[in-house]
Amino acid sequence: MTEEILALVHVPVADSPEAAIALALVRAAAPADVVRAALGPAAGRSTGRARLFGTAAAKLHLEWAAVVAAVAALDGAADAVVAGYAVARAVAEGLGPDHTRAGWCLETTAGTVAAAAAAARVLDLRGPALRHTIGIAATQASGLAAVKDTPLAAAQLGHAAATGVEAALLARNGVTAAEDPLCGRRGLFALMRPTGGL
Amino acid sequence: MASDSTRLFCAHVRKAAETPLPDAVARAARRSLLNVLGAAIGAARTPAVEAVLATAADLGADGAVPVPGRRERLDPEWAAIVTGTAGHLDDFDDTHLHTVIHPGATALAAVLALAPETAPDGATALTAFALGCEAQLRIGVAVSPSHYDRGWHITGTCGVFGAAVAAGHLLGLDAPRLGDALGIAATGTLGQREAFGSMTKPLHAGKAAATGVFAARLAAAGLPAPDDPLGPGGVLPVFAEPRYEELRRAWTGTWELERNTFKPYPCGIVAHPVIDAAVAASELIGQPRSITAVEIRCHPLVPELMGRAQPVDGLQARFSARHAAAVGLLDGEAGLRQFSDERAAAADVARLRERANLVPDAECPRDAATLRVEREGEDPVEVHVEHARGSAARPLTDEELFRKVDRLVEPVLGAGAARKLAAAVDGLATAPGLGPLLDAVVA
Repeated sequence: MTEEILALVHVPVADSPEAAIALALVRAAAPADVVRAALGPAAGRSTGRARLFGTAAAKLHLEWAAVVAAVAALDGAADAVVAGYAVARAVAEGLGPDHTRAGWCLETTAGTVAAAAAAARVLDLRGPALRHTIGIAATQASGLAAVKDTPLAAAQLGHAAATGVEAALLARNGVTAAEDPLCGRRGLFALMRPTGGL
Repeated sequence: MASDSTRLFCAHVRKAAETPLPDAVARAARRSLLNVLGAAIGAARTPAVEAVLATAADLGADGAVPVPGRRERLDPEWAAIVTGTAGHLDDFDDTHLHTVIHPGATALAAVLALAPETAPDGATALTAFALGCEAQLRIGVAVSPSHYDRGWHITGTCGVFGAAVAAGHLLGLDAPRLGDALGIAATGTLGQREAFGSMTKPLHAGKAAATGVFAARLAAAGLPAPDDPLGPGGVLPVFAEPRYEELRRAWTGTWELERNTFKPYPCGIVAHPVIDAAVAASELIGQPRSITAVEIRCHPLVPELMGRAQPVDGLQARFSARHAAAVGLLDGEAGLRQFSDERAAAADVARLRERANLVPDAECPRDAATLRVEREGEDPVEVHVEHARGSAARPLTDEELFRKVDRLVEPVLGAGAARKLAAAVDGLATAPGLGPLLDAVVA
């Protein structure tokens, strides 16, 4: 399944007015002031912008907002959003139907990996760099369903977007990760796909 | 159902923060700090640290925070990522044996990240470091062993909380705001054991530090978190079977930090008794080429965590008990050179790894191992190690710890640098500022 998900990152995609609109909406939305204050000068760099766009996207109730925020932060185009959506859906399938009931926030767990995938497409990372991007992001997949509808929900969405962008940048510079971060014995799906009773 | 775990935990943190560290805790904090500074400086020029630094440079993340063993100064976020990664990189940092947490790298990275902007005196910085370690360890105790057993890298997952506590102390958060910081940190836990053997494993410690520091900043800026993030509605039951009573326990008596241990070898700690046995056996074996088989009777965690049969580089070799045994037998030691890319790829080591076999034994304690070496035309050699060097039963002495740090620091900062570093750590509790310590850690 890991190989299939990696292959989704660079497949040709059709034009998507919906993805283009999502990007425009996120770029125009106001980010959370408290996050901007905490970021300070870091707000201006791509990872900081991803965090801010992620908090802004939360108010728009977009599906896979972390993907849109990551692409917006890297000045990417709608095709990367579409590819990120495809990765998000595939990762969500791997995380299983009980992932959210177990307590995780799917928008930020699968969203972190998908944001990284979208960032890798914008940065044209392929081969080992792409695999390591996904690995660096997968090991950081986090976020809790319990904070939905609280002020923290936007911050954790911003965190997912920033982590995705950062994973791609780290991998581009040679940081390595697990060979099979998604399906490995101690990888994403093994740890975050509930198997027993909840 | 408990519902006051976070409130009580934060109250215990703040009470400990407002009281001078007990002597034994202060000593344990100094030893942990010196050890992890040595580890971070020793790893300062490794490819992983260079790669993370290159990313910081791409982002223009220069700033005022010094980086151990380097000339660069970075902003707090990237200084935390680099320092935490370097501190944990060689797997030569401190280890709390019960939880298998390496608390020092994350706590150090959080404290250094905020040092320029908060300008703490030495006692405040040492307390922040101690609180950051202790918070990780107490939460780790509450989720052990189920959490690690499920496959989580507990240094990362619990590290975010320790970094938030250390940062919270330096930023002056009161107990309610500290609770918010822990709640924010709970949404950014990280670390899966699948990453072991890659650069991402040490990155976990660095990212935990940066995430915890940012959580404290968000709390200071006024972002609230839901009530009781360390309770039944928080992250702990999502990834473990927590015992909340551990979090409500007062911080009196022995601190978990006092149980921190220091590795004599730069690899996963469960293989250390294997190395002791191999080094001892090497003195009894004249010609390693005569070895036909090596049987390693060990705790079941050894194959679980150190099961790589033929590692291809130094990072993977740190998770290969067969490699550890092979270099111990061939070289009679197991330092950084034995876990280099060169030794990982060496033909004589590969040959001996091929002949080594791990035999897990549930009756074997974690710090014990038995090595049986079969030889062509000669009697077998068997060595049993009851307690590994560096274990709770055989801790490194202050002198052994200094020699270890000296070996790590000297190649990077030059002769005499470790002495200066040790003096700065020894005098930290009475230092008016961090100047001497920061001067001692940078290139």
